[in-house]
Order: sequence, then structure tokens, then C-alpha cells
Amino acid sequence: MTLQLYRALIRLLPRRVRERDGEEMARAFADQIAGARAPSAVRWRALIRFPLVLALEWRDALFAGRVPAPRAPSRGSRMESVARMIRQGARGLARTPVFSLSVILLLGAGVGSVSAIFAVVDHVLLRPLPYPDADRLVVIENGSHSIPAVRDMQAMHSIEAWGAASTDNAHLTDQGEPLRVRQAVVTVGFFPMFGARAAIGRLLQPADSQVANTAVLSYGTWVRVFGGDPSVVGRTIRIDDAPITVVGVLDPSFALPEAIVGATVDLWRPLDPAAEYMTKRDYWMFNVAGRLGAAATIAQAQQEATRIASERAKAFPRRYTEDGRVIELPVRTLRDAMTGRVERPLRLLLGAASLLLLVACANVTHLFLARGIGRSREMAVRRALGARTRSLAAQLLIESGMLGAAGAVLGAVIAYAGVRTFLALVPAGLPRAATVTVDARVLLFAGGVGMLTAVVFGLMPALRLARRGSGDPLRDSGRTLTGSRGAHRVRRALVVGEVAVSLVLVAQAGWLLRSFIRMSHADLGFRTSGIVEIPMSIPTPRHANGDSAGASGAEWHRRMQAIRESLARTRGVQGVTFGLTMPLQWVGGGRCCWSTRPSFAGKGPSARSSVTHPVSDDFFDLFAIRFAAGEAWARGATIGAPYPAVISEQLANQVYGGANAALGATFAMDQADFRVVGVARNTRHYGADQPYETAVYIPANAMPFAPDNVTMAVLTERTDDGLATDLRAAIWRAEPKLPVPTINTVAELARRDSAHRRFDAVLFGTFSVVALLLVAGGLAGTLLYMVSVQRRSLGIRLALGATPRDLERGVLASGVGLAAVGAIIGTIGAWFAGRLIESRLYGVEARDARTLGLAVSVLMLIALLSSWIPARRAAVTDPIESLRAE
Amino acid sequence: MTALAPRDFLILAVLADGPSHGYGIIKAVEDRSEHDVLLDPANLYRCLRRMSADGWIDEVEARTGDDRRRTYRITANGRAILRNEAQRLESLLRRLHLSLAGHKR
Repeated sequence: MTLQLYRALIRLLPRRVRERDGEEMARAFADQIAGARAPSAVRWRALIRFPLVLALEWRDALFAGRVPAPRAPSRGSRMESVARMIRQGARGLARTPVFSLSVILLLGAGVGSVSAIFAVVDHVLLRPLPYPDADRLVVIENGSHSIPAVRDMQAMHSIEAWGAASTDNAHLTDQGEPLRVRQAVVTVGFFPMFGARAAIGRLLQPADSQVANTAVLSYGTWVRVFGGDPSVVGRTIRIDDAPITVVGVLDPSFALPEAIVGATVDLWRPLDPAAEYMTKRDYWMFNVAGRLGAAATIAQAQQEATRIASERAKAFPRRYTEDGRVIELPVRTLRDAMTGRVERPLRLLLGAASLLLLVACANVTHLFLARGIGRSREMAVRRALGARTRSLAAQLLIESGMLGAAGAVLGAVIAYAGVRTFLALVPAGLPRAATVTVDARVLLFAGGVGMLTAVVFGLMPALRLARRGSGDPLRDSGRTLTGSRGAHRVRRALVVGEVAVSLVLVAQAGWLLRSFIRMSHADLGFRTSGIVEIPMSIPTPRHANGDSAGASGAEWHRRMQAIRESLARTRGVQGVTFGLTMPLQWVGGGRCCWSTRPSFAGKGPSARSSVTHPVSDDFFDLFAIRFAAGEAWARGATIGAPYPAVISEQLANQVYGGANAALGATFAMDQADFRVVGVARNTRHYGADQPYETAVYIPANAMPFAPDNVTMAVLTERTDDGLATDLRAAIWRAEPKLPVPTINTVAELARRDSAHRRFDAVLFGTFSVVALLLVAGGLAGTLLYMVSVQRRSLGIRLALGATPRDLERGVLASGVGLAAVGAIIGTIGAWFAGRLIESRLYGVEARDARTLGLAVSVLMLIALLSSWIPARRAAVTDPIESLRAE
Repeated sequence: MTALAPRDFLILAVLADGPSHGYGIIKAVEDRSEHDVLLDPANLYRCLRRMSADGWIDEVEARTGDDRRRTYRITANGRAILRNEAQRLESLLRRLHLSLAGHKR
């Protein structure tokens, strides 16, 4: 119970009360928490007591205010009678605590799970993005763009403002230990477009782009690195060894447009007018956002973008076509770009939670029906004493409304806990997740759903009561042989429905669980155990204009070699390799970095680009990558052109139609010549669910440039806590000033790779377990009830010669029969629902029949088990006893 | 004379010592009742609203710096109620003491 939640609760109070005392209450609550020795006790007390006060305040607001305290019981005012009914209802509910608590718990569980998911869906998908004119913001997709390409785009009339940003790593070297920071280079239009404000100092101005030696800090960096010291504005810091002046700090309320700059940015820099990226079309670095003109539509923008794409493809055909097709410029709304990826999964979860709510509602109806029938005598007595049908029905409605309100309050509490659990479980990459809370909207939603379900499902018995003629129940209640036929039909239909809905949930959970298991055991084509990856950025001296001075190749290789040897000497290390990128390094998004089109002798330039992996000699050994033909280049045999190279099976098949045919082929790539010495089996470099790449592996020293970023991979059997420390120390022995931010085991990366599948499986699994429990309860309850009202007929059958066995079998059969009908309907439902999760599956066919069969068996087993107790109960019926009981 | 609810009695007793704001009342009531009566804000303000409608207490907006807080003060009427209740309790206690003493004999 936070202050925030308390404020949300206050908003539920009647307006007069809220406006008068709401502010004071929140303040007193905050003081109370601050002054308490055990704040959690205060929180709980406030949370438990609030609903009661809430109910009293609403009662006062609705009734007491208008009726000037008529104490004498009168038939006059309707409001008065409603108040009386509430009192009566409360007493009635308190008399049947098991019933009331069960209904409240069921409603709470259903409403809570739906509301928790709704809180996330509402925040991530439904709320507008926190930017000015957010609905007019668009992004130009298809990856990043060069600055000249951005200039091309600016010819579009439908877009009135532009903002572009490019992110990379930089080193902050004069604040204690060397730090690796994420820096974004942004155009002048970027900050205004996203409504950014400075907390202190100022943001970037056009003049900053003249000299490019300024920076704005993000709020987090200011606090973390500079201790929130305001005098940092105007100070000069060293970034990548260049002096940079801090001009301001961004306001903490600024929400990163993740689709443009990624999930973290520490430092904001202006465009550098002298940098190569300002003029070269090959620097595809900038993500581009635009704001549509007030009268423009996205279709118009797309039309213009398409025209620009085809014009530039004519002007620069080699650059802007691939496979002979124009490289398009798709225009998409910013909201889509940010949340489109998660929209479907979230809606699926909301759907699953709603199914669970539905099952809970079915059980609530069971309970209401049972109670309604149990109370028909009471109602009949009251009717006989002169109560009208309408007021009796109103009484029932008010009671269910009160239960609904209580269920909604419990649901809100569950939702509050649920959202926290959800966010703790959710794999990285859910946009806007950090700010999801249970607020008044969610509480309102929970309240609405709770009341609605309670009233709708409480209405059914009320209607039945209203329809019934007068007097009957008093005479026949408890004396019928079989109970009311109508009620039985409803109950059977409910069980069938519950089973069907649960089957849909269980089948989906089964499919998702299978795909998670498949994914965890997928063959990635390389070793995943005992390897540690260490991404690092090698600081290279830069020119004043910020471009890499290009540490000379020999110098760079000497430094890499030193790091490698130092690592190899560490205790327990069995091998070390390095390369531009290592397998699974990019799990969770992104691609690296060097893709080219090798030109094979006699075949011409390949139609598609291939990913180029410069790697050191031990790479294939260390990762145990298998060969389809040939072998890895011999160690040290990489002195001059043509350099030996290994290509992936995928590429060999595409170009030569087979692995063996590719052996010995030569190709040219980025002004160097290579000869194929081996064809490696395909690997899932970017993750188990990513397609095979056409890949080229070349010796690291054949790289035509010295890259800033490399990754070391270390083979070791050690798993102890000291490993990371030892590895860092080893690197620092060779390169004292190098930041080493992360050390990941490949196994951990693989786990991260399947994280969202695990999340799916866990969530759907939880929902279906709860659903199964509810089904078991609903079925057992129904059968028990049927056995108890049929006691007389069971007794007669026994007296006529049936054996207890027969009775037992009869009850079992009716339970299993109901479940079977539900299972048939559920199978059809699951068949259709399978479509919805198709894209979430891995290595399992949507509608995989084996899983569906298993789900059906689980459900039938549960049906059998939950029919068992009622069946036993029927079997021990004593004929004399049951006939005498009337 | 009808009995005063313990909570109302305590609130009035606290305010009889001098005006106080919401949290101050909560704390003082807790202290005075030796943590027997624990108030939460929603409940407290409901009581305060009723008492001020009945004219037992009245409200003043107090200002300290830019921090505005509502303060409650007991009225003459409120004091009378409190005094009555005190007398009722006293007479009750007196009788109780008497009967306890009688029992001992």
C-alpha cells in the first residue's frame, strides 16, 4: 500500500468527501507512514479498513444525505428500504461465511488476474506516449539511415519536424574508474520533438553543432556519476579522450523514445559538422523520427517516402537496391514502432486472464445457485408475510452487489501484487514497463469487472425467483425427488463450459511449455557450456572531429594478443578466442555489424549480403563448430592474400549448391581476396529462433580496419564466483584503462534467449493450474449437490435392488460425461485458439495434436478424480435413513 | 445520557488539550490509549466530519510557510459533551468501586 495507491483509493470516495478531506487524508497517511516504527503495519491497517469506510461513505452519500434521518421503520422512502436491504444483506452474508468468502475469493482471483494484466496492457498499449502531439509522431523504418539520406527525406511535405539519433558506446575516463557510457548523437530537432526539458542548465542548441564539444547528461548519469552536483554544468569532462563541456542535465521525467535511441542513454551529444557521417551515404547510423503536419496523414507520408525511395534508388542504384528491389522507406507510427512487437503477446495474456475470470465466474454462479435454492424457503416465508417479488429480487441483487464490491477490492489488492510479480518476471524489452502502476483507472476497471460479474451471476437466481409462482417453494422445497430441473440444466451447462474454457487454457499452456522445452534444448550449432564472453571496447585515439584515427592494424593486433595471452594464463582457462562478435552476444535485440557482399570468382557479386565474422584462430575449436567440408585454417597460416576463409553451409548451398563444391573457391570482399578452406555447419548466432545466416568467417588479421568493439570468449570449467574477478584482473594486466562492464556465460545468454518463452509458459501454466483447480471444485460441488438432492431417489433405487457399486458408477459416469462434452467443445476452441499463439511457438506445430491429447487426458483425469468423492457419498447412501429423512 | 464512543471520547480529549491536525490527532490518540485505539486517516476524517457537523469541533486552516494544513479545535459545545461524558464515567466508576469493595467483605 503505497501513498500512490492510497491516493487512488481516495479517488473512489464520493466527490463531496473527496474534495473536502481527500488531500488531508493523503497527507495524514504520508505522515503516519513516515512517523511509524512499523510502516507495514500502518499500511495494512489502512488497506484493510479503507473498504469499510468507503462503503459507509457511499451509503451516506447515496441515502443518508437525502432522507433526513427517519428513524421509525416506514414503508415510505425507497432509499430507506435500500439502506435496510443493505443491512439485511450484510447480516445474511455474515450468516453464511463460507459461501460469502468463497464468492469473494473466486471473484478476487479472477478480477485480480484480469486487472493485473489490464494494468500492463493499459499502460503499455492504451495510454498515449508521453510526448507532445504523440499521435502525430512517426518513424522512418527499415533500419538506420545516413545523414544525406535524412536530408533526402526532409523534402517530404507531410512531415513538419524531424529528429534523428545515433547511439554508440563511449568512454568517460576522468571520473574515477574508466566507465563505458551509452552516448546518443542527436539532431537539433530531436529534443523539441519529444518535449524534453532541462532539469538544470540547457539542452542542445543549433550553435552546439558548430563545434560539437558539448554534451547534455541524462538525469541518471548526473546522479550516479556526478553525485547530483549542480556545478557540473559548465565543467569540462573527458569523453573518448576529448574535452567536452557539460551544458545541462535532462529532466528526470523525460521518457526515452526507445524505438529511436534504445533502452539506455547516458550522454547526449550534438551532430559533429566535421565528422564523415555528415556527408557519406555509407554511414547508416541514424534512426529517424518525424512529426506529421496537423493536416497530413500517414498514408500521404508513406506516398512521399516511397517516391523518395525510388528516386534515390535511381540515383544510387548500388546503395539503395537489394536483389534488384528498391530499399523502401516504410513510415510507421511511433507508437507502433515502440509497442507493436508486444501488442499481440499482451493481448493474448489479457485473453488468457479473461478465460480464467470466466471459469471463476462459472464457479460463482454454482455457489449462487446452490444458495438460491437453499434460500427458497426463506424467500417463500417472506413472500408469505407480504414481501413483493420485486423487493425480494432487489434484495438478492443487492447482496450480490455487495459481494461483487468485496471481490473487487480483493481483486485490486491481488492486481497490485500481481503487477509487481509480472514486472519482476517479464523478460527485458517490454517498453514502458518501468512506469506501470495500479492507478485509479485500473481500480475502476477492477471494480467494474467485479461488480458486473457479481451482479450478472447473482441476477440469475434472482430472475428464477421472480419467475416462480407464489407459494410453491414453501410446499415443495426439499421434497422433490430430483430438485429443480432448470437449475440442474444450468449447473451442467456451467460445468461443460468450465471444462471447455479450461481445456483451451491448458492446451495453450501445453504448447507454450513444449516450445520452451524445445528451445532450451535446441541445437545451436556451437558449444554453450563452459564458455564466458567478455564484450569490450578498445579505446582508440580520435581525431578532433571525433572519427577514429584508426589505430594502426599492427598496434591493434599486438594489444589484442596481449589481452588474449593474459587471459590464457588465468587459472582454469583452457582456451581464448576473440572476434568482432561472438555467438549469442546479441540476444535481446540488435545485430552486428559488418555485412558485405562477397564476390565469388566466376559467380559475380552475391545477391544478398553475408554477415562477416573476423575471428581469431581458435574460434572453431573453442565453440566446437562442426564442418560440412574442409576444415578451419591452420593456426598462423594467415600471413597474406589470398587469406583463408570459412563460409557457412547456408552460403555454400546458395552459391555453389553444396558444401564440397565450394571448397577452394576464391572470392573478393572489401578489396581483399579470400579462398574457401572450409564450410562450417550452420549456427544460430543470434539465438535459437533466428534464421540461419549466410556467413563468412575470416582470420582476424585479415580485417581491413581495427574495430572499436570486440568480444573475447574464454573456455573454462570454472564456475566459481572468483572467475569474473580473475578475468577482469587478467584484462587489466594487459590494458589497465579498459572498462570491462559485463562478463556473461554463454549458457546465461542462452537462458536469456528463451526468457520470453519461459515467461509465456509460466504465466499460461499458472493460469491453467488455477483453472483446473476451479474446474475440479466446480465439478465436485455440482455432483455433491446432485447426490444430496437425489438422496431420496438413490435410496429408492437401493431399496429396489441396485448395489452401491451401481450408484457409484452412475455418479462417476455423469461427472465424466459432463467433462467429455466440455472436452469436445474445448478441443474445438483450442483448435481455433492455436492460431493465435502460432507465432509464439518454437519447434512445435500450432495445434500439435499430441499436446492437445495430453491436455484432454489431464482434464479427464481431473474430472474422474473430482467425481470420486461424490460417487463415494452416493455409494454409502442408507436407504432407510434417506427415506426417513423427509 | 447516551455513552460516547471511545474513539470520539479520545479525539475530543486530545483536542481539549489544544488544536491539532489530522496526523497529530492520530498520534495523540494512539499514545493516550496506549496503542489500544489505532486510527487510520479514512476513519478519522469521517469522525471529524461528523463531529464538526454536530458542532463539537470546528476547523481552521493553518499556514506554516507554504505548507497548508487543516487544524481542528474543540468548541464550547464539544467541551460540554466531553465534560458530561467524564461525569458519566466517573459516576460509573464510583459505583463500580463501591460494588467491588462490597464484594470483598
